[in-house]
Amino acid sequence: MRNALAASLAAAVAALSLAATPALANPHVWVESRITFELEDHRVEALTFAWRFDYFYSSHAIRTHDLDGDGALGPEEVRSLRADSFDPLARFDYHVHVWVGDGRREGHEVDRFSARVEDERLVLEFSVPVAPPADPGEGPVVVSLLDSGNEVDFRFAESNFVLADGEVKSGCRFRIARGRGEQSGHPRPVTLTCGG
Amino acid sequence: MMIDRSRRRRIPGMGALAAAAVAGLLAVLLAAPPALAQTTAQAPVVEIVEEDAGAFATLTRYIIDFQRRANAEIATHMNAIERGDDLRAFFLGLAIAFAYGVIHAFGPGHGKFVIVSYFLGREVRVVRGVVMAAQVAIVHVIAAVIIVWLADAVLQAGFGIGLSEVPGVRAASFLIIVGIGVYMLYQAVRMSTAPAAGGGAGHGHSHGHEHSHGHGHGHSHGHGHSHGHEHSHGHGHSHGHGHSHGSLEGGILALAAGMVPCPGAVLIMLYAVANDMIYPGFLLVGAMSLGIGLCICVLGVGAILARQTAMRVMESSGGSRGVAALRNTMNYTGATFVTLVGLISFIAFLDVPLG
Repeated sequence: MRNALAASLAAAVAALSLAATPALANPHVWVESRITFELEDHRVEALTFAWRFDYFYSSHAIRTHDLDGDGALGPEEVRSLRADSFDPLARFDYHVHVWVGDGRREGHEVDRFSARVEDERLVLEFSVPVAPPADPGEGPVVVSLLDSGNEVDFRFAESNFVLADGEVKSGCRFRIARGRGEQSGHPRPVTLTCGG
Repeated sequence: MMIDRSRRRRIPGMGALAAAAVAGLLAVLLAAPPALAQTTAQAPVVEIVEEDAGAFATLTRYIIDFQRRANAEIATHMNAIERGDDLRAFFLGLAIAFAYGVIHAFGPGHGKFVIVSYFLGREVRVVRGVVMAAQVAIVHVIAAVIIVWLADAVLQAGFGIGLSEVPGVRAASFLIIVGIGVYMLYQAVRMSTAPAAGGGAGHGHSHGHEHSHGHGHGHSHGHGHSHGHEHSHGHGHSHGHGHSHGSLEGGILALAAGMVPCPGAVLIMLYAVANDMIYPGFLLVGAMSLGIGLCICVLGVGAILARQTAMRVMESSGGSRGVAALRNTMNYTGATFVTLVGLISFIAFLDVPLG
């Protein structure tokens, strides 16, 4: 009897736990991403991101901002899209997470923002300066895209998803592995390390 | 270790609706994680480390991967519908949308926790759980359609910010949930402090019966049923477990739980409107909501059965005090959870600046 009672209560607790599922992601927007490390004198000066959105979000965004209906986004339409849909992400640091040897970099600024339509999909590109520039020889540079609110799911593009613009010092390497420590919870942070 | 897995995995196509849904689900469970990497001359060599992230993380990843692919497949099939390719695309789209809804509902939201808490705190029949899940699903569809008609601008405040912010609707939903939780707490207190609560008079009766209630009036029972064991009674004891909370209360809660539309469903509906596919879009969102309803139904019915089983076991063990204590505990627990979910959600809502 007691076992049955315990089983019933356990089932109730299990149902509650399953119903809660706070840790499960529940995204509604899907992004394929590409990260470019901009290097100068072997130091990372900026990170450039390309985001390609799913059909449904793309359709909505294009329809909303392509005011002349020509299937492309002109300068004014890009400005409108940025103001409405991208700038509000500032309070999430644009979902860009960066760590350098001396700690986490926050409060990102964005420059070189652009938006275009490719095969009916919305593509955004923007750069985040790394200031001061990070020398991977002095400590790993780690970059991750993650929406901690789980509304947007970032996944790498199928190819060329990590690029380097500029010379990478010999002995340096890029690595993608599940985040640990400070990067715990980040499924695919990209780490640039030199030596070791 | 370089890993090059550039194959794109897709949900297999097939004609039959049910088979497609099952195949879609199987594809999720059996497929490896999606393509990740290859490098070109322009790109540096990237070492990709695949490691066991644990069962929960792996399951989460599969669920997300499934949703990503299902989302893309629904778009593909809607395009096929738009081109007028064939009816098969439409039915396959429905099947995928249904499977997408089932899997999607396992993520946060959609009122699951509220529903399960409610059923832990209320003694109701299984059919009530099914009805309530159906109500949530129907309200979900209606909400998505209404939102698309009324508030295209809702989605303009950043990916993922505006998507979930439907200010008035969300606030109303949370406050209604708080209201019902407080009402449940009030009743739990009243029942637990009633003189005859739970057989406190020492007559040791047990119930365990699945009597029909939901007739909306707070009666006390005078039925003298006998359970074939040590007693029979005809006294007017008070049950305190949900006779007076039938379809109205459940309906209101289902409305509150379902009235915040799923942003995914809203996006599909927007896409349908944009491409002049309102009816197919409506049906696809309906199929998705049906899937969400099924998930809620399973969890809700599970909670109802768990409570019923626990009560029966306690009753058959003959401990009237134990029955009363268990009933009161569940009443308080369910009421507290419902109240807290609504309250915490509302507080979190107030803290979020609206885009």
